Amino acid sequence: MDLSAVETGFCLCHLAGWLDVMMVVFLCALLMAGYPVAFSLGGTALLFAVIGLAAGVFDLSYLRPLPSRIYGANINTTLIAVPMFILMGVILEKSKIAEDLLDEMAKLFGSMRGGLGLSVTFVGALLAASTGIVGATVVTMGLLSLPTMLRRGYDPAFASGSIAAAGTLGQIIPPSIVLILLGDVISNAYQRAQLEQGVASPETVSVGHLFAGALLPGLMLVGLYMSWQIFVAATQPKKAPAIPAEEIGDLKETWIAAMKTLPPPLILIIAVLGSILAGAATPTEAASVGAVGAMLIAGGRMAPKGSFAAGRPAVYISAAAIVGLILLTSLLDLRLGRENIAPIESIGIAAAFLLIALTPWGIAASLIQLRRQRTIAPILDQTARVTTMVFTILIGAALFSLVFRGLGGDETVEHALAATPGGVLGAVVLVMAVMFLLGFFLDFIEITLVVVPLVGPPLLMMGLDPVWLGVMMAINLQTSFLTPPFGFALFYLRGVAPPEVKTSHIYAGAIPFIFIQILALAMLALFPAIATWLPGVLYQ
Amino acid sequence: MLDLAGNILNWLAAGVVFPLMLLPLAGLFSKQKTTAVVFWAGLVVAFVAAGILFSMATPRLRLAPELQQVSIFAGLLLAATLCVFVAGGASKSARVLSRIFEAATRLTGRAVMWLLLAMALVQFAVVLLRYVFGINYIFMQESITYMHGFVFLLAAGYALLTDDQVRVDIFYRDAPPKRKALTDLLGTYLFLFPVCLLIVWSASPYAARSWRVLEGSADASGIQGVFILKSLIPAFAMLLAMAGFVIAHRAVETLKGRGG
Repeated sequence: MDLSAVETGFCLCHLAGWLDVMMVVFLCALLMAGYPVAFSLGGTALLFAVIGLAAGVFDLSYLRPLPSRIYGANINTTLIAVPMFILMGVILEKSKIAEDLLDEMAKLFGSMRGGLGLSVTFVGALLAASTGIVGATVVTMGLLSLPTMLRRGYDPAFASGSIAAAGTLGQIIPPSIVLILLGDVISNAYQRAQLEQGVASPETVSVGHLFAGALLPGLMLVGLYMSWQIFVAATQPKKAPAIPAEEIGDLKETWIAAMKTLPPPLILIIAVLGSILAGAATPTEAASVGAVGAMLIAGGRMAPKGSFAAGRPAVYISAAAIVGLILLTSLLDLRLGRENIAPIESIGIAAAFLLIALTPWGIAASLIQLRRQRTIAPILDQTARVTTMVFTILIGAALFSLVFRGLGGDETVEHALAATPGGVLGAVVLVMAVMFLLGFFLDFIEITLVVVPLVGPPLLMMGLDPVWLGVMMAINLQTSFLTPPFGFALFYLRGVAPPEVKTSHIYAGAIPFIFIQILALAMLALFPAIATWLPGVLYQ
Repeated sequence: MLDLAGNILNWLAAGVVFPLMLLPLAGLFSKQKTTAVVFWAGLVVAFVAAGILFSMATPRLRLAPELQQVSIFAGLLLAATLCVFVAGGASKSARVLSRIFEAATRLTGRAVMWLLLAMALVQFAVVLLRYVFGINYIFMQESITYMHGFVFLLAAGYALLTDDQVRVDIFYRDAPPKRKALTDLLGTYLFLFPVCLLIVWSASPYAARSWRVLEGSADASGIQGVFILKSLIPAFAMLLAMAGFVIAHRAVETLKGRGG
């Protein structure tokens, strides 16, 4: 104890040990003001760096890695998947594929009681898989489906709950961009945890592991949502009436229309996800295929009938060429630069050259169509803005965590977790509770980039499975976004819901889905294998 | 030669651009040309004095206050003040600069966004070549990294202008325009500009080290331009600061009851 400080009564050095905690409290208060999160993070970090410097508990050398952190975000090949998945999602959204999907599904299932609700969940899961930005999905579906559902006599609470819940599915179903970020962060945390424990040859976790881990829990949630919707439709038909058959029109035509709209995006998503899970492609490679595939789908839909060179035939030929290439590659060894290339392989290589030459044709035709419809610039514009938003937060979070570490925040978190009663279980419950509360204010991206690097290593050092932990965190946050009164999804939905839907309707409608989420979390906690089984099988 | 160019750039950034950032604030407090300029000059002097005081008070910073650098700094400030005076006061120069900065950040953002398309196509080509023919061009793979860097670092200012940098908008959303403007003004001066300064301050030597050896790829057949990639980091901060200037200017206009 410093005597002079006792005499003067107050000294910054009393606070020095608490600076890390104060930093977090200050940040939470500050964020409420509404200045962009990335800079609030950075500004708070800077302020506390200066206070720490003045109090003599912070060293400027902690800030030195900042440029190399930013550079690291640039050369990280996994993170390059983020802009490409965003591009894929934005193309699917802007070329109205999502809208048509919802429309077709509604017609197809509409004749069933509760059919509209089911179609919202289905499309939410599908869309989600390609974008993973909560707000976007909730807004799209709120604008498109909510008015239809209300017009068909759906209960406002049931309708809005279904939409909000379906909109949050985006995060948990791969390949969502938040899972890529979470995978990257968890993999770093896992490395760090093993290093600190002195593991000589640390195991690695990849984004692919997390995708595989999140797939079954995601599908389980879809199943639970649908079961609830069917249950409501069966027990309270007034809440979810069927569309009268005469309004739907010819069922055969509906089926034909649906079979035109549904398969391409479905095949694309399955192909992208499948190639990642099978280990055939890295997320970045698969994302580029997804983006190009989305371009082809959009181009094929927009092309006018009749024109050959820049129309649908070009797109079909390109798509067929790509499929042909995949078949050819799986049948024959086409690698160049070997000795002893068999005659059949030479023919195969020649054919592959031809097919590769055909591929750019359809892509060019699609791009020309997108340009004619004046959608290419808005697509790239939005993709660029969302991408840079994600990475600016990453930079702000990097600055924040550098200062937080410099102030000893690491040890504080570690001690707090170690001191939690109940051992590992207590620590997990504590972290989940804190993340749940943070979910009221911060989006998934910020929590992933700020909180997970801090709590990840100590939790993983307790011997938890990294994939299981990541999936638990994702479902937990998703629940948080659905929880009144602050849940993000509810806010977004409120913004686009017609005035006859009261805020109380939205809150009431979300509650059953929150119980479903809690059920899912409990199942995952009791049977971790739901998350860890698939990655275990895929990556021995 | 390179060192000199880098130094001049650094001092232009530190000596002119950042003090200029105080212009919108000066515009807020005055309606007359002379008082605004005096106010701005006062702000700048206070800003610099605070910096010097701080650096003296904390020897941990280890700043070597070389006379030459201080005089360059002072000279640049004087020149800038004169320019502002000639241009017709703080408010007016803020308006002109804001227009220039807005155009610059917007154009940069709208230009680099096309790289996203190129990125997806090049990556797709890489995938095809590798999986079909087993050939791999390192420069193609590296070009994707470069494009990625150009997009996310150089579009950041643009995204700030279009309000795409996410906020916690529980209270902000329904706030009256003046309160929003106040939040933006304070946030820009208290958080955005200092963060940009820090990034420029820490990234310039980082990029300079890379320039000095013209750092290239680890692979002989890669793109020999890592020094350019690293220079994007200070550029990122400068573009953000420029966008911040525009935001601050808009906020001031709103607070004064004009525009927005």
